[in-house]
Amino acid sequence: MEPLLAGFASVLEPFNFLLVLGGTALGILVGAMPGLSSPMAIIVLLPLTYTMAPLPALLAMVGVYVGTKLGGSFSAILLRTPGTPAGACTALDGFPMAQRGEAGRALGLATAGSSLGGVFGWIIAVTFIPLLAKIAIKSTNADIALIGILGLMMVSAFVRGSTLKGLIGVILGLLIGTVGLDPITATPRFTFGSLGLMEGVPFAAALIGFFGIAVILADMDLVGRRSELVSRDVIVRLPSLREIGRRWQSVIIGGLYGTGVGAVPGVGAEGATWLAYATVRNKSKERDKFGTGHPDGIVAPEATNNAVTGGTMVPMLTLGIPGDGSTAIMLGAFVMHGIEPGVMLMQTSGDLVYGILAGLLVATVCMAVIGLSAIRAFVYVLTKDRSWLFPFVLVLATVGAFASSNAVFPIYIAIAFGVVGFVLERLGFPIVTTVLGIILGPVIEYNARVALAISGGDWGVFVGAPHRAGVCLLIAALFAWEIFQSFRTNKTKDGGEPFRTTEQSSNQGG
Amino acid sequence: MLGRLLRAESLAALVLTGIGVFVVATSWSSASGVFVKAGGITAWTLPGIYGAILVGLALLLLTKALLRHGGDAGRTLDRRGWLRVVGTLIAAVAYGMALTEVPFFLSTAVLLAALFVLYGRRQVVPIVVTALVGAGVLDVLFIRLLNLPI
Repeated sequence: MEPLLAGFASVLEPFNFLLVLGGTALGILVGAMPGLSSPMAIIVLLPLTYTMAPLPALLAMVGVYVGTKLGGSFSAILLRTPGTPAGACTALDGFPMAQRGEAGRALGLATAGSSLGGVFGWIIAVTFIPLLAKIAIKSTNADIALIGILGLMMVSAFVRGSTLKGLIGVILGLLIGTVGLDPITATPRFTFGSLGLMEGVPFAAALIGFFGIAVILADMDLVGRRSELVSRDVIVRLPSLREIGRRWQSVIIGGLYGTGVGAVPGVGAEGATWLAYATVRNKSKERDKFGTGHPDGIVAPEATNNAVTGGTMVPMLTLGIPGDGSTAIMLGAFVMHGIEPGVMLMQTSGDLVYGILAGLLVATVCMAVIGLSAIRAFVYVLTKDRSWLFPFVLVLATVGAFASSNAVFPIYIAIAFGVVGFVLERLGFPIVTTVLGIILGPVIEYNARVALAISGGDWGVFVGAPHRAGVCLLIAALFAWEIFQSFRTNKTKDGGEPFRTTEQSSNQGG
Repeated sequence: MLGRLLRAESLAALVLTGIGVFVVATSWSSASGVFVKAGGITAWTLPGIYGAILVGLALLLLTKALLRHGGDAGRTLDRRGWLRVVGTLIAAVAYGMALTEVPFFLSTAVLLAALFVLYGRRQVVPIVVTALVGAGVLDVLFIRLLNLPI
């Protein structure tokens, strides 16, 4: 308890609190705008955070991460175009409610659902992270390598779109992760004589390319478009305590799905929101009213959406495995600030972990307050097209790449990865799998090779204990299932959802 | 068959197969000259394995693309969209090159104005004012406050 209280004390210092507040406001703004994603907003923040200490830098990112979850529902309710993939489900009942003149009530339900779900996810994260960290610290190199591979298999299995393309994305990421000096024998690999690549592909630049430049290029069709709101005169009407009490099942179900699915590396929020929505609808006595503006149809997906933020923190802070695109960039921020994420994180930087956890709750509270009080500003921004915004994002992305090592080389890397990301996105390859491959590749390789070195080259080390054999079986089963799925049908997993979000198309991951 | 082979997904599969073959070949030839082994494997073992898996998966993708009827799924861009994509890339490269040669404020203001025009803005005053004010704010932030060595 004491470390957590110390975490709150750090977060509530004026500078840190302002960063959480500002990050959350930015997050709501970005989340509300179709075409802009949470990873992109965090990328834009990168150049501002290089000179900060690790905790303030990560607090700003946590604020953005939490804020985007609520922002996505604003556009879902008012435009029927969700700002984030996870917001798509909210549009099912949020938009009809807004259409019949109850936009304020829909936004109030979304804000309440998001806040309660966020608190639920936070409680789960605070409870389980210290416990799991104690178990994780006992992991051997072979365990870590296997968990990394399992994480990648899960990413490609559950990611939106083709599983085969997800797998290919993972392998591309793993290959990109091998560029540079080999971590054990310092042999240069795929550097093509470039000194700039000796230390590997500049990580920040690659992320900026994938989540910044590629998104701008992919969303060129949004430039010049204006959105029509269902209602301009919006006053958020918070649900009464009695109404919230009537929706407790939706909050609990959404919270459980959000934290559970969020804790699975790479899966993210979108699948969980649909599962929660379906469960709540099936349990409801008024299931026929779902889809026509039922309050539970808003509360459940929103609670899920924000509970995911707690869930994704679990693998990130205990194993160093990101849950989605945003946490992948946060892991990158750890590395850029000289902190090695992984099983030792709680022991080496426990104050940072508890600071982030405290920041998660503070950001959730900030999200509710900002969402309620500044709705008119967000509604104003919603109607603007991207031609004024994208040039600034491009400048910030370029400066961010430069500032990552105060050199021009990473700018070109970012542009190159932007082009690669754009091409992959247009061909339907989920970018998030490639990013996770880049992040986890070096971790898997280092630990696998150390495990082999310790065992004298015996590959049996990876199946030598029952739990490792179990993980290997799971990996093999997932791989076989993914190949089978790709043979079975050409139909993608995203079939059937009634809304197109630009982020969905971009496959960015939350 | 030739038509299907020329579809974007088939071409992507062919390119990916080529990358995989290149990785395997490079790993194979490089590994043969390496005598430093840790745990029985060299620095090129894992890249070689990844390359081989990539070849297998890319061939699977190619097979699927050839067997599938209908066009490639995905979003489409019109001619103006493609022009904007190419223009954005040219502007980004030029900005990267100018960043260390031209004062940050100037290069940023020019880039912003150029992109506003590229993205369809035509009113001169808002373009100039937004570019100058935006570049000024960014200059204060990055150069004066954060002291970036640009």
